[in-house]
Amino acid sequence: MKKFAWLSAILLASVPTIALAAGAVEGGAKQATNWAAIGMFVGFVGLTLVITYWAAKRTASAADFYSAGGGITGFQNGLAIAGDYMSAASFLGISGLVYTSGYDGLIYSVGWLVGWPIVTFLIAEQLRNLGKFTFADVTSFRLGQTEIRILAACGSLVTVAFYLIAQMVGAGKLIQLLFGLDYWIAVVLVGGLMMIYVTFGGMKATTWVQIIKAVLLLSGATFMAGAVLYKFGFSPEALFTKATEVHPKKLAIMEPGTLISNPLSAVSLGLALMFGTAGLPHILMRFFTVKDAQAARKSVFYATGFIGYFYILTFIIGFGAITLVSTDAMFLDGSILEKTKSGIAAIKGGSNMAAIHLANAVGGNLFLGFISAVAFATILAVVSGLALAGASSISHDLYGMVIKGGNANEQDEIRVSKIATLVLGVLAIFLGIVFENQNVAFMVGLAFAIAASCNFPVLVMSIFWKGLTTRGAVVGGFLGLVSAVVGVVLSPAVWEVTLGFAKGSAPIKLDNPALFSMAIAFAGIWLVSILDRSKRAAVDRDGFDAQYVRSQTGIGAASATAH
Amino acid sequence: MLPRAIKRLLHQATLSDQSYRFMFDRPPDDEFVVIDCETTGLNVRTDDVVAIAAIKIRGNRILTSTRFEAIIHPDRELGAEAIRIHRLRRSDVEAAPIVWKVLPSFLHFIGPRPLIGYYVDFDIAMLDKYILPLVGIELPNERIEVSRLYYDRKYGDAPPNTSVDLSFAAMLRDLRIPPLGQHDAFNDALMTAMMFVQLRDLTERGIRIARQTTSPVFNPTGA
Amino acid sequence: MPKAFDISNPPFDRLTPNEAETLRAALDIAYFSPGEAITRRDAPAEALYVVIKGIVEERSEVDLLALLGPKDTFDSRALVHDHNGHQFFARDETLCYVIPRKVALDLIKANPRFAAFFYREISQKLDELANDEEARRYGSLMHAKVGELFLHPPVFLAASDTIETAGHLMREINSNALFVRDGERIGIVTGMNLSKAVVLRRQSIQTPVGTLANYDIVSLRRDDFVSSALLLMTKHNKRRLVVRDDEEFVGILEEIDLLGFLAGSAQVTAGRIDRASSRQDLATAAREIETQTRVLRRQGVKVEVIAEIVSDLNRRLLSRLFDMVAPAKLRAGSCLIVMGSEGRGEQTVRTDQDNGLILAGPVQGEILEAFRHEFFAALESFGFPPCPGEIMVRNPAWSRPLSEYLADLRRWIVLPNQAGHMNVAIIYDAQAIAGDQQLLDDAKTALIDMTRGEQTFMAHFARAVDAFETPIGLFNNLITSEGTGDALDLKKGGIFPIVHGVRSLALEQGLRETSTDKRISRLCELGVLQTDFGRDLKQAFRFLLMLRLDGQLAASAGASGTLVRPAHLSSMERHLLRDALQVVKKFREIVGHHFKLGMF
Repeated sequence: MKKFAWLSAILLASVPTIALAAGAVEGGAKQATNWAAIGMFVGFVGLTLVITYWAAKRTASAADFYSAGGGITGFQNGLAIAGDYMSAASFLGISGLVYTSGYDGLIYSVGWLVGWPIVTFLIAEQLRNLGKFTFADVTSFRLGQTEIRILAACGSLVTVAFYLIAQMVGAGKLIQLLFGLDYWIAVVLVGGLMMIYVTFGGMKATTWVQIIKAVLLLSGATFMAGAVLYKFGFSPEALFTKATEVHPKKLAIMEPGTLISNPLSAVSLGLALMFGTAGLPHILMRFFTVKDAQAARKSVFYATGFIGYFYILTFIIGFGAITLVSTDAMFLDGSILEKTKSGIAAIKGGSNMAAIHLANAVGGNLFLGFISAVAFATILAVVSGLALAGASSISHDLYGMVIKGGNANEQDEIRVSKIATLVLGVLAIFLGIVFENQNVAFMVGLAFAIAASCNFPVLVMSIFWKGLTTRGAVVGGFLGLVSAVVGVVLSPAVWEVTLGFAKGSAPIKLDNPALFSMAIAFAGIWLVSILDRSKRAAVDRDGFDAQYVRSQTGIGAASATAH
Repeated sequence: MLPRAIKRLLHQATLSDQSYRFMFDRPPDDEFVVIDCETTGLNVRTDDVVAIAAIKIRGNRILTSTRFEAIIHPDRELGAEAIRIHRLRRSDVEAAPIVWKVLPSFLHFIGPRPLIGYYVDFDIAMLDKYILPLVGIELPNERIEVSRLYYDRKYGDAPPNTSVDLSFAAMLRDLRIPPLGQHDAFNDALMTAMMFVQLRDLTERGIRIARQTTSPVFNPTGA
Repeated sequence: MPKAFDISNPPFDRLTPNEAETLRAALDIAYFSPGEAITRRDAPAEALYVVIKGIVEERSEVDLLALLGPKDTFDSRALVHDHNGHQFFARDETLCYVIPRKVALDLIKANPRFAAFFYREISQKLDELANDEEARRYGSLMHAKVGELFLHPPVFLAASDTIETAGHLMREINSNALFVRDGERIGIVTGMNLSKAVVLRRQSIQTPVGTLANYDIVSLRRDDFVSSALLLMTKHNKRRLVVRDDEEFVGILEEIDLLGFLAGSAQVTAGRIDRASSRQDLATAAREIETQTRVLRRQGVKVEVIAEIVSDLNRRLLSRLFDMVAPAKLRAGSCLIVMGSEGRGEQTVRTDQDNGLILAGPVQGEILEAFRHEFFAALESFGFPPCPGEIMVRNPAWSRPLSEYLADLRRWIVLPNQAGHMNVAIIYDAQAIAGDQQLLDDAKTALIDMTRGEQTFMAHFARAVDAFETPIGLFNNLITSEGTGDALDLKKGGIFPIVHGVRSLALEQGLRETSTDKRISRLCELGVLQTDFGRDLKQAFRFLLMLRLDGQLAASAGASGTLVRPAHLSSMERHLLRDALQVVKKFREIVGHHFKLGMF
């Protein structure tokens, strides 16, 4: 009942959108309103929500009182993880990067994919064995609660914020393109819808939301890639040949160096992508819905499979876009085309929209509506997961454990968590507008860099290194966090493109700071820990053995120190 | 088959005995008559009525204190089967008046009120067989079928393939009306009346009758 | 004539055939929809009603005084007195015979025996009570039937039997009175008769009892009102009455039992359990517990108090039975526990056996096996049906050494599944009844230690609160399901989420309390729940339990009673139900947030 209400609220909210879109058309439109695509879009977003509602309800109609307790199977959870992971960034961003830079765009796909085995071997099982929810819960197993929670909350929030920006940009561009609205209006609308979704229904049955999303996205992308290959008689060779012909960089798109020219940048980016996954707060929480460590490992196995398959698809889609989109005037902005003479640069809505245009090119307006709806629903779902993680780290870690010293009552935490959701939403809208012209995959790369520089070192050291102390973790973690953020802000992409300083004035030449910030974090942790002679340090080290046994076997006490 | 409304007009014209004109009056508000006939069999053409019972209902009152009840001497011999079902013996009907003597008072009793019954069409068809020659009309009264009301309450919203049970016993059970001993015209009419008042109330309040529910939930902790 | 009108139903059995015919000829039948007022307060009765089907409530102001069912007659007081402070409402779809006032009064005038019934009911005794402050409480009890009271079994002696035989027999059956058959005459001999003969008159203990018995007995029927019994005792100055069904003797009603019933007889039942010397005694006490609920509810006792009293009685019963059945060795080295709602002390209407045994160490196979079956069979004979999930002493999985329980607890927590979660819930709610309480304490301590800090386990455990939707809509509307005939399930939608949510929070905090009420209080003290909200939650919980209890009492043949049809509730009750379900919804949100159930 309630679900239908918020569902209709969302649909109602879409009405003014359409009206605005129509208004934009009358007022000397930027482009004609594509009613077929919009109808399909609204219909599919509605349908997705209905399916989600149905799925959530289905889990609630179990005949037995305790059947809910069995947990989710490894396969289901694998799909859910894939759903969580295959965000708008992966889909829109990677295909966009491939579209502009060819083969180099793959570094993102590969980096992210390689992150998965790392997650499997380093932390999935251990996390599940420890029986904890979040990064903060795990690291405070033997370390000092208060300090660690502050660090964890900061790390998680910054990561979530960057990740949110990417989603906002993706969704904003999408709505802008589809409805013909101003970008900022699109972002505000999307942000508003997200807040409604998260506060009224997004926190329920997240697993099912993600599963549905993953299935939709995989099937949509499969169809699109299939359609592209079909045009080339299922010969990838023909596809690549044609792509090298029409792309202004010609054969260079099949060689490394078009996107990332120096090896330092490549290594730095690769590190961020590989290790960032293990530090993403909303992915870590996924290990906890399954019944045991074995299921956790299995779910990563399945997730890796799905994600790998998905990245192959995005690659094909990117090349498909080069051949089909950049050559079709319908998808290009005439004025830019005049100036640059390049179909690649002239794409309407920027490179992030390559996949969306391709949908139109291979499947017409209806398929365009479908893919847009899937992308949009995906973004909603990812955002709900992110908002849940962010709000929980504010309400539980910062408010409940630090400010109230663990004595907050549940109602207050819920209130704080709702307020936090709203604040995060507003922040996301603001940053989404600021970062308008960034490629979303690149933005996600920055989020990963932060996760890899703050959360990951502390997490991995706390699980595997006996010498880690609270002070070491806090100092190292903050060093990593600060250096990563500073590195991002001072990088050419942000300093020059977003903040508008003169080209070449960026103090740091690396686009992705992970290489240095990770090194700083690990070094800081190590140095401070071994120099730490405090009483707390002794307690921290003594707790390691208990934690180690527990993390490897799942047996033993649930905490090493009495907090 | 002519639509009933047209038939009614036709009968108004063909009414041979004008003293029965009252059958076409406006019925008193909120009054009904429940009827039930016991017959020698189920074939309208060949079988006969052996007992008629009618009970008035006014509002939520079943006026059993004023009622119509008659045993009728049938044209034909009572079959052994009919005797067994109705527990009327030959000697009972032997002494009874023939149907033509009974019908005038029956018609005066029911007047223009709507007639209620369980498979009421059958009862009315049986009675019409005698009434048509007598007064030149078929019963013009509105008919209310209790099994129809029951069906609406219980199966009105049922998914397809629901098995439907409209037996008298099933209705009694669902409405929790104590069985009074069936195949006695008066008792049958009385039970039908009880069903009617209850079903009408359920309809007004929009309450449905529960269908067979799924197997009960097992919960050993008994919260 | 409604031939179906049953003239064998008192008081109409006192009518002559002609009068019965007159009565039948005058009968109408009236239908009342749920909640409809059948009589108006302080208005002269227009008719005498006899219930055909449905349930009729007798109320004064707002209090429910009595529930009348088929064949009950009302309102005779208004009929003869012209007015009555009480009002009658249909609770269900109700059909009644309507005897017009004039016809009834004519019959009363014509037939003195018939009249006696009506005047007896409004006798002076009751009038005195009616003015009393306490009266309202007793008023409803007066409408209880004699058959609901505890009756001593009818045991017969021959007149030639000796005082000695009588004395032994009395002790054996734990009764103070026996029937004596002397040819055609039937009399009663009491313990007092025997002792007077022997002690005061120095008669031999071989004296035949026939000479001591009192043959002037007063009898009444099983379906007479309790008020009649009281009146008969007062009128004839008797300490006991004989209860019979036509010619058959059903039992002996002692004054003490009658008074005990009127005084809220929980103590009497408790005493009976404590004094019980045989399983037979316990069986009768068990039956009494059954009726206790109805009586207490009728007295207007609050549902949580009813639950407390009934749980206490059930526990005493089990404990006494344990003492009887278990060999001394077993008793010393084991602990009998009750689990589930019985353990939480929230059971009002008997459901099934939820019990187990924790042993200190291994026990010889045959002894244990014999005990398991004997204990189970005894309880079954008392009317406790077997637990469908086999959670009872009979099942070896629930009667074994502590060490095995501990091993299983660990398994349930480390490798949780559906059954594991359920078993943890069951054990956590358990209460020790008899034997070595330390054993259960140890098990619970281990359980609490094992789950401390286990966020993941606790979240999976707590997830069951979301197993069912709370049947309340966005617009505060009650959501009923068509398949159940526009009813909503109180247990799934309200009671279970509260019980389980509170249980999960309590387990996480390591609380030792078992009742939901006390757990909520402790959670408030610990600051897990806001005090105000805790109060709301308790109230909602009690209200839902009360609705369920009423449903269970109304549902005749022991239906689960957890289905409630909002259309059948008063508007006040519907309002409260909505409020209660809103609280449940909020509570689920809190539990969901606390255990991060949104992730699933």
